[in-house]
Amino acid sequence: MMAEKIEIILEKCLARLKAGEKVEDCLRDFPDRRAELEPLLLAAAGLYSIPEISVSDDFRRESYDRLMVHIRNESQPEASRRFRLPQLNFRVFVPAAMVALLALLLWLVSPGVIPAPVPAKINPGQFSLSILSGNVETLAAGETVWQTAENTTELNTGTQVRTSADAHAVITFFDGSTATLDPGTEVAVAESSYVNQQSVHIVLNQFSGETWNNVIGTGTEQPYYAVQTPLVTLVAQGTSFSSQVGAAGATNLAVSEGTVKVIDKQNTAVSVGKDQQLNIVTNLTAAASPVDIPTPKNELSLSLSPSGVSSVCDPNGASTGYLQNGISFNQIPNSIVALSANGQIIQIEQPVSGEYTITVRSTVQADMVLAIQLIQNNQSVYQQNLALPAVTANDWTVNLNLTNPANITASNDIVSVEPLTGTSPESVVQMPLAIQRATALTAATASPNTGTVATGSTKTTPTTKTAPAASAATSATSTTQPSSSNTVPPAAITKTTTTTGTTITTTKPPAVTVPPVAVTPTTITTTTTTTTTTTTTTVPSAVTPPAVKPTTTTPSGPVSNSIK
Amino acid sequence: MAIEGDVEAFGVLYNTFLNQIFRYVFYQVNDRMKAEDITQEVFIKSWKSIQTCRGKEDTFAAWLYRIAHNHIVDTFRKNKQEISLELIDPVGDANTESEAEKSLEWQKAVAALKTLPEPQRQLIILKFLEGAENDEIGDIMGKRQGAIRALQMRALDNLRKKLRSGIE
Repeated sequence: MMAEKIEIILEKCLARLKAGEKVEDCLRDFPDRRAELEPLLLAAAGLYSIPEISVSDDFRRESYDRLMVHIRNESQPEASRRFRLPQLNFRVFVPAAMVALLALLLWLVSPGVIPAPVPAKINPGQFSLSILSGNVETLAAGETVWQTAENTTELNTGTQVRTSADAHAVITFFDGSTATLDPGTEVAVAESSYVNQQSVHIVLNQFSGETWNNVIGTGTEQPYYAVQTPLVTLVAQGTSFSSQVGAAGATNLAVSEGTVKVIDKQNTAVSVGKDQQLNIVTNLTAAASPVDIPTPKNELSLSLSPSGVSSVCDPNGASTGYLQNGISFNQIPNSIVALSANGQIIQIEQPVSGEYTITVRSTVQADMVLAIQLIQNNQSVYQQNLALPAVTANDWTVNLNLTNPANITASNDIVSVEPLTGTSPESVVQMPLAIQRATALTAATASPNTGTVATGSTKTTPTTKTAPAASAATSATSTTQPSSSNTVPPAAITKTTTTTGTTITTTKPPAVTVPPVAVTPTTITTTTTTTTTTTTTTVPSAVTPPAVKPTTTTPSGPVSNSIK
Repeated sequence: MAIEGDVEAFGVLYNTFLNQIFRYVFYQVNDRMKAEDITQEVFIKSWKSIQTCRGKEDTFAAWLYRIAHNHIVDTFRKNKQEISLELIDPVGDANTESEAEKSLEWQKAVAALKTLPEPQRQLIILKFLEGAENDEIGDIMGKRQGAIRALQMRALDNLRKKLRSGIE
């Protein structure tokens, strides 16, 4: 009896200690048991004073990623099974978390369980398939026959998609994240969900071919976006990356933005950072460490002044850029888009041959300046500055022909500059969640046009690829653009092609009134080592219909400019 | 895709219980990295066996703690590893003299904890470091309330003696 009583008294005192009372307070209430209680309570008080420890954020994230990968790997052969949680009777253990958990678990154990309600417009379980070119087929979950897909089809999670040898396609997930599929690629959207309407959860199984993945995060919320190949799982962490799957599942990962965590079947993990690549043939233990991606030989760079946004559509139909409502998209492999108060930059590494359509949309009523720059072996070899006057049009399209990207000084030029009319050239599916999360780019977010264009040095995304000469050329030519006078809509194309010590500047009147210049840069191979030669050609303004077709002129002098 | 909901749900469970399980493991193994490894294994193990969990325990937490406990016991058994008596500081470097003193006390308490018999150590960790109530502890340890109170008293008494004698 005595022993039991002291145990009960001890229990009462422990409860009081836990509530914040002192040892002495308890002892005062049990003076006759002081001798027995005091050492026990002092020992207990010492334990209560041990500070609470917790896991590091890094461990939490890393462990979560590994757990999810493990679970999915374990679950795949039995995709239909469903676990049963124990009956729950949570009381005071982490009360707040328990309430949330209880709600979730009640949902899970309910008969005829249905998904948690989500806003009507957001369909986490669906994705959009945009066919950019060629033949694309789909295989719905449970089906056995592949079907020819249609453009912008809404498909359900579980559907497989494959592209033919000449096809390009883009999968747009419900949060706006995209996977661009190269020819000969086969994937399945294994998971697409919106956990508690807060956390985006996307898993893409990639069986073959190459994907370019652009993951859309917000300032506070990064989605769980993973690409599972036969050998590894690639977990994105604020990322743009390409994943190539070859024979026997061999996987090549190349990261352009952020970090990608690679986890193999043995749960070994490796992080691959920006501008790094990793090749996995069997598993991570056998794989070499990530290595730097070689600097691209060729690069197309577009810079736009702050009063607008732009996008570029490549010859395959993929697009990268911004829309006026703030939605960003990046479907072109190895491209980067960045927006800052200084303007917008798009960079495309190793551009392919063909015609690029650049779309420029104003966000405020102001003139815009678009700089098109080609960089080869870290040297700026070609630049055109287009002044796009607000008085003429708000939105523009510029067609740029890159006929030989491997030798971009040789044969590239602007084909046309026209006000944007009709259908937008981009294949961008604006998902409701992406629209909700986007911040419209208006006067509040865009600075007034300062008359200069953003250059590589002003972009928010760091790059080492912009040659110093390019910046110099830009600043040198930006002064030649016409001012916004009250008399004439002063659109102009200012073209600068820079080689070592040679600068060619051609200033043109409004693109809508006179055909734009088309310079043949092959003539700019002259190298001058100590002096700078500048040739400026100004063509008078003329009032003609806005349709722009190239004409040709042949300037004289040390450098010849051909206007087609 | 029924598994999809399960994965999401388990992710929520993981986030809810991660710290608790980590602490529980940490105070038993006295090594942060080892505790992290074991914690992760506990969740993987719990995922694997979640289908067989049919309400033997009153709470999910109790079930998870039981898995953690068994896993720790297995780990020690496999490695034939003695429990480390190395002093640790759960919160890192102390900035003041007072903090340093407190830190030393904590370290001693944690070190003494390691020397307790396994059920006593388990109870102390659950009750004083994890903040569990007696009925939950009873659920986890499979003991009645009276037994828990008696064990608690013995554990505190034992701990006091260890601390007084400088951990023998």
